[in-house]
Amino acid sequence: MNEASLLRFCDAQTKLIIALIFDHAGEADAPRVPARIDPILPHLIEYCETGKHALEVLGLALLSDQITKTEPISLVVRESVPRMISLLERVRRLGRQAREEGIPPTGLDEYEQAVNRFRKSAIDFLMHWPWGSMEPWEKSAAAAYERGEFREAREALNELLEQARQREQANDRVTEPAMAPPRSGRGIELE
Amino acid sequence: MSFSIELMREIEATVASWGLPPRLIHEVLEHLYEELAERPRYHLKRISKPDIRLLYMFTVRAEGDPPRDYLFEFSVRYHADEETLIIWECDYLSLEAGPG
Repeated sequence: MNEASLLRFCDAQTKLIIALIFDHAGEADAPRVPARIDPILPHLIEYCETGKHALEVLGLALLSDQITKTEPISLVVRESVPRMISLLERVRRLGRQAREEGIPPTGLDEYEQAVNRFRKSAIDFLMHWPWGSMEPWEKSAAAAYERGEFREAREALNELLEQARQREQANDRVTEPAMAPPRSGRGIELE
Repeated sequence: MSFSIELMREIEATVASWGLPPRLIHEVLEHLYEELAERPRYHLKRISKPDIRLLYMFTVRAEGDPPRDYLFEFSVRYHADEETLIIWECDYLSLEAGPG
């Protein structure tokens, strides 16, 4: 049952990619042809709904102890979900841009609602799914702890904070010549 | 009573390797000490498969163009002294944030 949901998820993703790359992606990428995202919105809505369902089923299976190996699923989901959310949000921005330009894509509101539902289920899923190596404490960390290989967290993180500030200041010095373009955001790591 | 928090050296190296900006490291510090250290029983999730462990998870919104949501996960263990929490595994991932 879980595998079937995953397969449906992957299938919807495949249809989405085909629609974007082979049918409409070139037009959708261009900033002045936002109306051309209309044909892919139904595919994206289907993707959102099947993806939401798959993640909910997986979450329930974990809660009811039907899944004994969490890592293979986490490896797939942690790669695919952020990538797909990025794509969905990019299309949302194109749709809003089109609406602002007076050409609202058909089905945009339904699409936005579907994206919001998918986002919520994806974050709920990620916030309940263990992503780690799943090495038990006894094997991976107990011996190191016995050897004293630990530190007070505040002290360690404050040290990392100071290093990060120095790194950011050094980057600012490099990227702020007289003709440098204005920075966006705060230097946050993007894709 | 606030718990003290200890970080395995390996985890310290892992967090350093992420190359997070100062604001996010500051947010991690705040979450660990204002939430986890204060009310660990409330904030820790217990999972039983494939092994029993306690997870502390939280999200942070980072401004940018586009903004991103960072999801952090820490595996935590109670020390036998019942006053200390040990972080022995961690991970994070980021998602493009929605408009609202």
